Amino acid sequence: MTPAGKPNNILVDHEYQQAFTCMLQGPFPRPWLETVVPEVEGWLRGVNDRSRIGLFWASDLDSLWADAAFEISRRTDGGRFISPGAFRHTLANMDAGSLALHLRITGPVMTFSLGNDLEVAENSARRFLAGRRISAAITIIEFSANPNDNGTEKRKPIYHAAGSIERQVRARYLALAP
Amino acid sequence: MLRGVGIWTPQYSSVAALCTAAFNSSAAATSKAGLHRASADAADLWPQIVDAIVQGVCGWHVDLAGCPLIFATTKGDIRRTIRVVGQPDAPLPKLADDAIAIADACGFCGEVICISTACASSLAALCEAHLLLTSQPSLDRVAIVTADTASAFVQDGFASLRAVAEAGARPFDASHGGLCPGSAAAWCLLERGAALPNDIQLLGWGLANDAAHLTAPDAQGRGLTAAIHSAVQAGNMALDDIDVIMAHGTGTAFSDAMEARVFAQLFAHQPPLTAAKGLLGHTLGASGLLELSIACEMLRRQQIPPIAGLIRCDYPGINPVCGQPTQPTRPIRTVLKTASGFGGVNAAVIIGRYDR
Repeated sequence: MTPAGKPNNILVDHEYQQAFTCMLQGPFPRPWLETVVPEVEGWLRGVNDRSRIGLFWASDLDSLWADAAFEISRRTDGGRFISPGAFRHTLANMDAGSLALHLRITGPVMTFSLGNDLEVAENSARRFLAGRRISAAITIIEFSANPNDNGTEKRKPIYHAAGSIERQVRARYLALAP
Repeated sequence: MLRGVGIWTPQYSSVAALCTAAFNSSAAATSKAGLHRASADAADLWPQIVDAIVQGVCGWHVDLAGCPLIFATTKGDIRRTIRVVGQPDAPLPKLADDAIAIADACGFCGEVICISTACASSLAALCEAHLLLTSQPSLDRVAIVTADTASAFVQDGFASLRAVAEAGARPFDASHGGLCPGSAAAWCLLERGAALPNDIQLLGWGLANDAAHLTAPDAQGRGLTAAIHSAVQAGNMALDDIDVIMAHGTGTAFSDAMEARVFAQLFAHQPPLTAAKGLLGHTLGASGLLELSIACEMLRRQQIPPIAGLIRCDYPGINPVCGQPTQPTRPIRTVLKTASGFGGVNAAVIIGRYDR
């Protein structure tokens, strides 16, 4: 609903509800991320001190879907129902923060916006490892099915970002040689 | 070496202007930097911010060929996101686009990295720059640029968290009134090479995560403690070597209490504590580097600016500078700058004069 109380032709209630429902379900509101959690948990099994583990995250959508949902809420009924729970997801590092919280990672957590370089998170992780700042790193990148396809995939309506854009997630575990 | 430090805010267009205000601020002088909703949305400041960055980078007069750019921001140019809502044909924006646009405008043709770790973004960028420089001997310098705006989007968000102080932020004050969003850009070069007597060095840094809560700081401050220990260790220093602390100091009850607790526990010698968000507002990811520009000036002037807005501090075990600029009881050789943010991120950076 717009502030005037009339739905515009793009944003209708069920889409906005879908975005919010996804967002508030937590701890991993992006369904595709759940696919990597068991794998990452396996890598960390037996690692009790996680202060030397770093998490390096890169995404080509950042917090866009949450930004959109929050923006819609600002426009709805004059902003009477702006949700603090929604706002917190509008920070690009919140998914990485959620995962770090879930995995109890207390080393550095770095979040990158994915530009042209798909290796940005892994390169950073390697630098932290080489500098002996961490002993192991988990890198996660999430991107549209074809990250170089600016013409089609990324032009899907923004309100679909909460669930129906085809996403890929790539997780890796990097460690210092013993 | 930390060189070419520049800043822009709607109130102050240079480090000199900012420091004139900072070193003359008073308990009464709190900023209401972000509280101008009635007249304009600060998101519209973005073109001015980009212009200021371009001018600042041009002022470096250095060869940018091959120089990597690390751009740090929390929300970037939020106007693009707002515009795209309801327009299915619009390309989906991302923060990296802002980084690339700034790199293009400034003439950078090296690697461009975009970091967004909430309010610790620009200090994290400085840490990343240091690693980049140490890992690539062929590099002479890395550029760091940061920017954020107190957009209506951001203000509505903090208001929904009931975190906004309508009368302006008062860091570490007993009123615990909340934060005041602000807009800013800052830029600097991290260079290797021969140092001059007045040069400022990055002595150590540390990054750590709370893994305790997404939006509230760990009440025990374990992440910040770990970041400070890491920074001190990296600088081959002792906690006692910290001469001044420049805190994150948002003015919110939970964050200030966490920081005060950590500083009181770690620093038995109670170094003078200052903070800049009473003057500048909370400029999100840009705040770290913006406030570090004041820390650099502290090292040069051997003076500590007061915390604008601080009237009465009720946190035990810390030594906040209140009222007037303070001449330190011992020379200022090192300044610890900290930042913490949503997601549990904590950053600590220690800078010092080369000739300390």
